[in-house]
Parts: sequence; structure tokens; C-alpha cells
Amino acid sequence: MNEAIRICGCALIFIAAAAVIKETKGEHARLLSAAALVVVFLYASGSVGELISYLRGISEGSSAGKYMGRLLKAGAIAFITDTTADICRCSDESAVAGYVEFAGRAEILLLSLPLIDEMISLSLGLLS
Amino acid sequence: MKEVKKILLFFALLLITICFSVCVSAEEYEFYFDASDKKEVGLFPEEEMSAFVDGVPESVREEAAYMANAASGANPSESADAVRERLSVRYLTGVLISKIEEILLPTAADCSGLLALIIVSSLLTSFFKLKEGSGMQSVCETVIDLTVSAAVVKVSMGVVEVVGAYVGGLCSMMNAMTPVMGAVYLSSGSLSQAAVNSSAMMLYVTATENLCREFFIPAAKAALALTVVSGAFRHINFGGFVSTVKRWVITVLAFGVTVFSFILGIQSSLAKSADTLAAKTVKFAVGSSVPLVGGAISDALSTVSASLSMIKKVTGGAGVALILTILIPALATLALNKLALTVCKCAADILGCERASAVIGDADSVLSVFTAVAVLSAVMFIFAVTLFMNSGLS
Repeated sequence: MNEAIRICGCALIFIAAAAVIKETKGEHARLLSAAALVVVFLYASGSVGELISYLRGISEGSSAGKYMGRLLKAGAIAFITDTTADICRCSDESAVAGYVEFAGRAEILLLSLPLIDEMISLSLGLLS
Repeated sequence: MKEVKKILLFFALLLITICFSVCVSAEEYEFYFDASDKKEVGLFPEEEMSAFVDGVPESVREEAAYMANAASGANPSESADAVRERLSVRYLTGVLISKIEEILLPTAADCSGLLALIIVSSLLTSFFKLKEGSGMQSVCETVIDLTVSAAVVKVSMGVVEVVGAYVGGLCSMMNAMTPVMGAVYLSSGSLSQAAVNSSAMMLYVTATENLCREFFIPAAKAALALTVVSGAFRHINFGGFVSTVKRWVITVLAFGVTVFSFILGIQSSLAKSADTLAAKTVKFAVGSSVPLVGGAISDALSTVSASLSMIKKVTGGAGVALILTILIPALATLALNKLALTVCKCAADILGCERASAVIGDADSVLSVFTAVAVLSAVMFIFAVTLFMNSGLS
């Protein structure tokens, strides 16, 4: 609960500061918003990290466990790419945001190629 | 319309009579003669006997060999103690518990792995649902579908291999029993009506077992493969084809089981015991828990218990124990894996992962077909062993 209160508190402080700075120096407000995103993300990663290590622990030893690593990597890439794209859009750089998302999607598809391969070979094994 | 139905029924009955009729004729039997030792005259074809012995699972052969050695020991009281120990309820319960433990731990691990994947999928899906219009949503959903489908097929593969090996082993034993049984009847010299009935029944159960191995198992495997591919790739939909395959398998299975119930009703080779309250309770439990063929199997339950009683009279508790050692592991594997998939489907429904829930539900329904085939094979095997033992007693 302490973590949640800290995260919410940080976010509110940054938003308040950004609102105040916007009136005088608008471009600094955008930087402050981006910094708020990064700080909240770092704070939240602690709790998310514990959850992920717990889930990895319970899936170890199962035949489905090896897919957990790939799914978590894909999820992390999607999350980071999405956050970066949001920061770019906040700074009125939508072209950069689009390219960042494109790179993220390509990275995730590359990660899922061995998965597609394995699934097709398992299905062919069942059919033969 | 009614007349057409009557005509179709007449031809169906005629077809059944033709297919299941057995030609009976006397013919000269060539005895197996070993030229190197002219004193020995073998009555049974060696190839079929080796095929029969090879069809018995390794663990069962070891157990039977141990009991045979223990029973033929120099010290009679030690031999009796050794055999008694192996036939005790404690030992048999220990063997069954150890076999179930071997299955339970990997199944629980697979279930927890799948649950963890569903939780992560739910977290990712809910994150991207909150951010509508996110560019990463579609690719993330694709990876989630692929991962869950691959995990489900990986978990189901183990079960499919176990069931395939189980049905194949039972089929090999039954295929090997039939010629040996024929040789026993011929060597007895008399070809009675009972022998003809038993031979026909044996042919039917063996044919059903072969049908399970050659048609039902491959068809169910194909349905599972196509189900998983449909679940992984949203734009590919084999749903209609899979439903058709499952419908055909269920239709043929239902027809075979209906004919089986009809034959059980008219044959006299396998005696029926009286219905008691306990038997009716078990019948109800079997009828509701075994998918697809539960009704027919529960009707045949009294015949199954009579068959096991006959096996016990001929071979003692050891025979029944060995048969259960062959049958129970595969059935326990199926039951536990179905339970695991049901739990995972419930979790996916609760967490809002609709695609994952659909894939797991489809895989579960294909496992139901495997369960029906495995239970049917087990019942056919018990009947085949009983008929085989009857041939020796006649």
C-alpha cells in the first residue's frame, strides 16, 4: 500500500508542478511530464518485478514454463515502446512516436518467430 | 417417410448381421514341430505367443516374473510370504499411489505454468485495453494468442502420447490374444456354440480396439492440432472443419458403442451379476463423469464387474491388480489433465482472457474424446481378457 501511495503522490506532485510551470515556460512542462512518466515507471517496476519473479517461480518445471520468458520479454518491449511513444507524442513528436512503435512491433514479431516455428512443428507432429 | 425409415433400418440390421457373422468350419490344424528335438510338439504358434508376451507392458512383465519366481522358491513358507506381501492391499495401494504421484506432480506443474501465463496475458491485455488506440495492442494480442496456444498444445502433447501408447499397447495384446485363443479352442477339439459366441465377441472387441487406435486417436489428434492453430492465428479459422471432424468421431463412437450394448444384451459369454444399490451408484457416477460413452459404459458396468470377478477366480487378486496397473495410469493422466485444463479455463474466464479461454475449452473438448476412447479401450480389454480366460476353461 505504501508503494501505491508513493506512486500516486509522485504523479500528483509532478502534475501540479507541470501545471504551474506551463503558465510560464510551456516547453519545460513537457519535459516535466516525461520525467513524471519515467519516475512512476521506475517506482512501479519494483512491484511488477516481484510479481514477475513470483510468476516465473510457479511456472518453472512446467512444460509451459519456457514460454513465460518470451511473453514477459514481449510484454516488456510493448510496455517500454508504448511509454516512449506516449512521451514523444506529449512532446508533439508524433513522427518519432510512429517509428518507435514500428521498431517495437518488429522486435516483438522477431521474438515470436521461434514460437510460431515450434507451434507449427508441434501441430505437424500431432497430424503425422 | 416412415416406410423409407423401415427399409433403411432393415438394411442396417442386415449389414450388421453380415459384418458380424463368423464362418465356422472344421479344418486341419498344423502343429508346430521342432525338428531339432522330435520329442516336443508345440500346440501354439510361436510368433503369436511372442507377440502376445511383447504386448504386455514392461512393468507388468517384471511384476509377473517376480511373483512367478517368488512362488517357485525353495522354501514354501518364504514363497507364500513373498507372494502374500505382493498381493496385500497395502502394497497394491502403495503401487497405485506411487503411479498417481508420478502423474500428479508434473500435471500440477503444467497447470501452474498455464495459470501464470494466463495471469500475465490478462495483465498485458488489460493494460492495452485501458490505452485505447495503442499501436502495440494488436501485436501484443498476437503474441499472447501464440504463447497460450503453444503452451496448451505442449501440455496436451504429453497426454496424447500417453493415451496413444496405452491404446496401442492394449491393441497389440488383444491382437495377439485372438490367434492364441483360436488355437486353444481348436486344440480342445470341440467347437461348441459357446466357443463360437466367444470368438465372435473377441473379434468384435479386438476390432473396436483397432478402430480406436487407427481412427479415433489420429482423428482426435488432428482435431487438437487444428484447434490450436485456429486459436493461435486469429485470421485462420478451422473451427468449422474441427467441429465436423469431432462430430464424425462422436457419431462413429456412438454407433460402435450402441452396437456393443446391443451385442452385450444378446450374448451369454460374459455373465451379468445382479444390480445392487452400490452398483447403481457407481453406474450413475460413471455415466455422468465419462464423456460421450458414459451411458453405454455404465450399462456395461455390471458385465465389467462380473468379468473382473471371473478374472479373480482364475488368476486370483494378482491378475486383477496387474490389469489395474495397466489401465489406471493412463486414465488417471487423462482425468488429472482435464481437471487442470478446466481450472485454467475458469481462471481465464474470470480474468477476462476470452481467446485463451476458447483455446483451452476447445483443447478440453478434444481431451474428452480421448477420455471416451481410453475408457472404451479399457472396457474392451477387460472383456477380451475374460474371453481369453474362458477359452482356457472351456
